[in-house]
Amino acid sequence: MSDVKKSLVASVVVLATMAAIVTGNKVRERIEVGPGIPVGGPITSDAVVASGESGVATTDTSKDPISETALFYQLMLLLEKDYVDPITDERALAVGAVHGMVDSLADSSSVFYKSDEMKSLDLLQKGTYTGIGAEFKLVYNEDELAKYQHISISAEDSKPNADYDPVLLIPAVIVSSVAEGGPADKSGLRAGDRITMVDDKWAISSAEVKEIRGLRAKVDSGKMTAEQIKPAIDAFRQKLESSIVPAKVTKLLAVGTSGSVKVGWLSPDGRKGSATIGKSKIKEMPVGQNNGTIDLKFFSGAETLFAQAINGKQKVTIDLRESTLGDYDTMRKCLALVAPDGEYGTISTEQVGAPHRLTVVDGAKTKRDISLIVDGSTWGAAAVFAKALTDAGIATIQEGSLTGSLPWIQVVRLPDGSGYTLHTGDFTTEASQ
Amino acid sequence: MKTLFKTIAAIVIVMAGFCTGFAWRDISIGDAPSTEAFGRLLSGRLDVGTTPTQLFRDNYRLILTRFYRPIEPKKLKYAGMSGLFNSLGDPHTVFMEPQTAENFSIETKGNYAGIGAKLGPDPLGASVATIFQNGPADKAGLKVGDIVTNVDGKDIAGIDIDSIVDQVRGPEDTSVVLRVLRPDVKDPIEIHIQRATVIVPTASGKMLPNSGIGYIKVDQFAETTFDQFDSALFDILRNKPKGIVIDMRENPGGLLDTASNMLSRFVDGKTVVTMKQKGGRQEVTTTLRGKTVDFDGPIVILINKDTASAAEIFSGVMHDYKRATLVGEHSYGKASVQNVILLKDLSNAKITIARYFLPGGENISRVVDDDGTYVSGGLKPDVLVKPDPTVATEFGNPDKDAQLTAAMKLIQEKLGN
Repeated sequence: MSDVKKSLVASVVVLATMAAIVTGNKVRERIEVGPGIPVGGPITSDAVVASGESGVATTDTSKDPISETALFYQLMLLLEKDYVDPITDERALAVGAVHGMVDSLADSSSVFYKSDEMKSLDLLQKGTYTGIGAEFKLVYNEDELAKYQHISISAEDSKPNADYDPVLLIPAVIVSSVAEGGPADKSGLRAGDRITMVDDKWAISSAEVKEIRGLRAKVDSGKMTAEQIKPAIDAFRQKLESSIVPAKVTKLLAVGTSGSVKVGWLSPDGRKGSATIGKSKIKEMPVGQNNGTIDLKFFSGAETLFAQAINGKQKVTIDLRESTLGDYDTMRKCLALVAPDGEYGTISTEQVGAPHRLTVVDGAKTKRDISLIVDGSTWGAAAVFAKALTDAGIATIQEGSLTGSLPWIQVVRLPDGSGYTLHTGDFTTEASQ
Repeated sequence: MKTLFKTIAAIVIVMAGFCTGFAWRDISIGDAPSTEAFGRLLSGRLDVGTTPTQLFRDNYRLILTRFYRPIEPKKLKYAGMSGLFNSLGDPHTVFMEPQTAENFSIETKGNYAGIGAKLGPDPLGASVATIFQNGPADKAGLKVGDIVTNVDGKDIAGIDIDSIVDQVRGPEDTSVVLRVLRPDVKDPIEIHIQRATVIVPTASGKMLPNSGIGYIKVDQFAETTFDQFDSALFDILRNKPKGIVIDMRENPGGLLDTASNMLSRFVDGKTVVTMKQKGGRQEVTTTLRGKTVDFDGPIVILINKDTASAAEIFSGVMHDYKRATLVGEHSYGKASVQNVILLKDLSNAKITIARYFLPGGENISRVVDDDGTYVSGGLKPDVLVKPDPTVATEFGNPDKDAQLTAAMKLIQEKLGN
């Protein structure tokens, strides 16, 4: 072989080796990241960090220099390289990121559930309560929520709104349903009650913060003295020191089938209650009947029992109070048992795109005289059911009235057993528009 | 034959190159190449299950497009990154989005120019509570007890103290004119003060009245703290104290070297902390030899839930070598070192890269759940004393400081009276 040939072969081998290194790296990246996801280059800045003021104020932050997947992947690599403990479960990092995203929505109907909580939610959808035998929802201060949501829409301008106050966004934990004959029911807890204390820890909501601020304002305007409000402020400070976050409250009360938990609550009429309530598993039937009234809860499979209950009856009264979140598919099936074919409303969103419609095909052939009993504890699928029937003129509300919004909720499951509910739209009918 | 050998060698080299590239992700972080990944490569199962990045992306898109109202993509992205960091359960490993990062850098800048005095509220303006030795105010002749009534020609009576302080502070080398009333002096005095960068005292001491007990308050562990601590300590030792209270409450920590030097006054040539990094690398810090002071009376260290980092090291080491008793409430539990990395989009990643272990071997790291609620960690006090909630606590005043009173009582008991 001539020298020229030799060096040619050598350089081919070197180039091929380099190409192999790059290809190997790419193949590995594809395995770790998944097909079709660009992860970009390094995300660390060349600017000096130590001084703490390098260009922070002057650089334009309106451009988005790193895509979300690139940022996620690179931060994951960064943690694997630098974090003091070995990272054994990368999936947990991704689930953590999803948890963070769901929490940032600050929406009563969009809630992250860890795997044990998700199990309880699944059981509940089938009619089995765990924990103390009640279901809970987080209710936010509407005014503050509006401010918070306002800032999130203005995409061009990422400056935080000075008016928005995170402290006033702490939600209240409200009992949304109580399993009949279960431990919570026997202790006197009712739908609509606000949980104020769990195991000697205070569940503080924005209501308390507002109260304290109201007192402070009175001192500023000279209506009260600092000494007069001191006991209230000290009491609040002590509550704050042993407080518990709302998400934890629902977990302590709704998860588990053994042991007991000390609960304090405040009823809408101002009565205070407290009790030590045992945890157990309570099965509630989706359809109950008393004195001709049908108690309907949209647990999965309810449609069969509901069909039997209304079979042959011309006049039907349905009690929709103390309903749980409910299974929306089951609700559709129940709707088809009493409503004729047609369109009953839309699931509208503020997002672009055509809204989904709530339609009934293969619906009821006979016309019935239907009355409904509802109140503030009628929510989720039950509230949509009531609204669809009444606005279409198929049913009348015999007792109570529907309050609040009618969220349409999707349940999303993650591979590790956790999951979340996502508020995907609000149910509206033509009559309500 | 020779050509065949060469061909095989070339193929082997190229394959080795591929494997190096494939395993680079592991090699670059100091791990062994992942056998699991090679297994997947050999079996051709490249798309088994959902990768973490896919899981994140799918849910990011789902939430962004299906949530009932539009969300700012950037906000959702950063919320996801915060969640990613929070999932590690370490309160010090945090992701800071650009806005937060900016505030953080202003906060940590710290240095300010002023006149070197502490002002307190007064109906006529502001009273001078403390003058820092050799500071600009000291040099210009301002005295403790003076009442400032006018700053740069503006009357300040009735203005709240924080605004007054803002007016007095300013850029280095500019000057400020104060009109002050001095007790026993009839006419107001005008004092011109050249502002300068002020070193705020971080340790100070005194003898507690009628007790024979010395008291040293350490506010943080800055570079200058060791000298200030020393001078406070030697002042007290000249008074032949029966016992000493060292107050570490609200002390957020600072430099390990400072803590180590201060410990050298009590502990001779022993381990302060062992720092353990990823992969088992260790680094040991020890106190100096032959620097201890001649004092063997009882020492009590006051701690509370804001005693953190270097302050916990000082307190924990004194405790582990049985040189001090800890009184108060459990401390914060920061026994780790962080690295802050600035990202291209100006967000910051703050990551715990090492942990300290005290001589007793205990890991005092604070553990929180993913909601940020305290679960465990921190130094446990030998004597648990909570502050009296009915009294506005004044640190260092035995009449208005329940934890200090308890510490003094403990010293008396140890002395046998």
